[in-house]
Amino acid sequence: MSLSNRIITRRELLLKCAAFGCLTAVPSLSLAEAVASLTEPTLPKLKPTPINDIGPFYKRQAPHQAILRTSSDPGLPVKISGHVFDVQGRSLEGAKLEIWHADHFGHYDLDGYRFRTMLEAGSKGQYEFESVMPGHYPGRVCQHVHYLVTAPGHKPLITQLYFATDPVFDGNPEKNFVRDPLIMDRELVRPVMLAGDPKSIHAEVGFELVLEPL
Amino acid sequence: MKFRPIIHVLSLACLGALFNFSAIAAVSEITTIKTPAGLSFFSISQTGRLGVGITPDAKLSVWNLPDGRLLRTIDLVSTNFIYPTLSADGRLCLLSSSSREVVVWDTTTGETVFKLQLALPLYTATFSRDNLSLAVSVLNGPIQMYNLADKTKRFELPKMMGAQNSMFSPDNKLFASVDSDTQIRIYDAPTGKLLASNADFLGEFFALDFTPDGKQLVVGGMDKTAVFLNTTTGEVTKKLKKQKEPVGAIGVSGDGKWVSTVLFNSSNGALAAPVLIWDAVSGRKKSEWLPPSGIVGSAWTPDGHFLAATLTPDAVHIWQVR
Repeated sequence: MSLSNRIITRRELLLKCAAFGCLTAVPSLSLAEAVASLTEPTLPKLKPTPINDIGPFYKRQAPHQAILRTSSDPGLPVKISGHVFDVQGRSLEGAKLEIWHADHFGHYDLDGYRFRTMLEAGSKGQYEFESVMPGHYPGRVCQHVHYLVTAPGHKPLITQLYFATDPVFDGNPEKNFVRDPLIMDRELVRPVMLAGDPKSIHAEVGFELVLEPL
Repeated sequence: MKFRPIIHVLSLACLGALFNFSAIAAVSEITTIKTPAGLSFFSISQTGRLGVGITPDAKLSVWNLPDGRLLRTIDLVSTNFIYPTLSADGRLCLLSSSSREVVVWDTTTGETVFKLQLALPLYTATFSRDNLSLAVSVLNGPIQMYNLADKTKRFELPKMMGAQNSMFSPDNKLFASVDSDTQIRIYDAPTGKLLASNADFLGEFFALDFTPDGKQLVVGGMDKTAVFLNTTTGEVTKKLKKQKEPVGAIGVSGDGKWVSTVLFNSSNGALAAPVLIWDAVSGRKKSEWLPPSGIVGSAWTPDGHFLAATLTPDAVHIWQVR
């Protein structure tokens, strides 16, 4: 193959552009680093959400409902919201979120669909639902909410959300999250904000979800 | 160790048989194994011939059943081994550690015969009935099949959401799993080829066993019933009467005449839940027993007795249920 017929690589093209002044690097970046950043594959920007145990008591075909509690349900009302992203930080519109948890007393509804829902992420990947803070299920250490999140082209994410206010943590979830052997990552323990006026106080929790590609 | 037979309500059982309705079971505590230091885990082999338990001082104790004679104590070195899984005959015992190490011991010699380091925590493990294969599944991961003879990985089943439990057929030709996506899958055990599946159910299954001829698979779980499936087609052939609690363990007797369902208390697994014996052919409930606490192991002996184990702080109690 003659030199003139050889197909120029993208890296070579960028170096030529730099030689002619079409491409410059900021002072803190060497030219080689700048070229490398343009030629190397895009690295993931977000860490996938840590996985967790599915069950027991997962049940398919939960109803689509954003409000899981009724006014007569005991327990602190809680609003849980977040977004579903891929590892590049792109919103996963239409991702399916199956969510279920125990009631205030730690009981799961096995026969029906109390405190179970199937949500669909919005145009910015957002989701939100209202429920009550789950009780402590005997046999498990911490209060938790189960998630099964699916989106085309991505691995199903099975995980659980835990609450930093759980009495099990004695006010120090950073140190004490290991008291529940099933919490394999501190990241799953989320802060709880109290909101609303004193007569209708409720908790708010954010839980962002990042799915890995297949 | 103490031998303490207690016959509960035998007369009621006889009346039940006479008038063809189910009755409270005739139950005897046939063995009490004293464990002064307490046990963190206990398990019975599928044939009911062996029991193993882990003591707080990191020892694996192996008892002969039903007499409760201590056969061996194996030093585990580490205290973080959990969840013993026994082979059907009890010869092999698998333990997993919190550091995701899986170790298989030969309970007859106390020697380690297989080791595995997993990337994720172990979720369920099953030995083939001939002790030549081991199926393990990790958290939310696919089932991996190992050859215990040459200690190699034979294959990995297709990725799905994870398996709740699995079992080899008595002739080791079939392998079935009840999966976290609520499906039941039946494979050709030597190759891993999917032969049949069933996706009719909405809730998870936790327990399964094959009939002795391998033609039917009995599964049970969150639906609070036991379901018979044709292993060739995956279709439901029979459903037992729905109970008040989920099914945590299922066993088919060696002659295929009886099926046991051990329920678990869904509000608190440590609390008592009924044990039921069913006629496998008619699907009729034969007897029901409420144990003093949650059942930690159960098995059908080759001579047709159903054994169940409960724990107290200083003893293992082995019950025979009729």
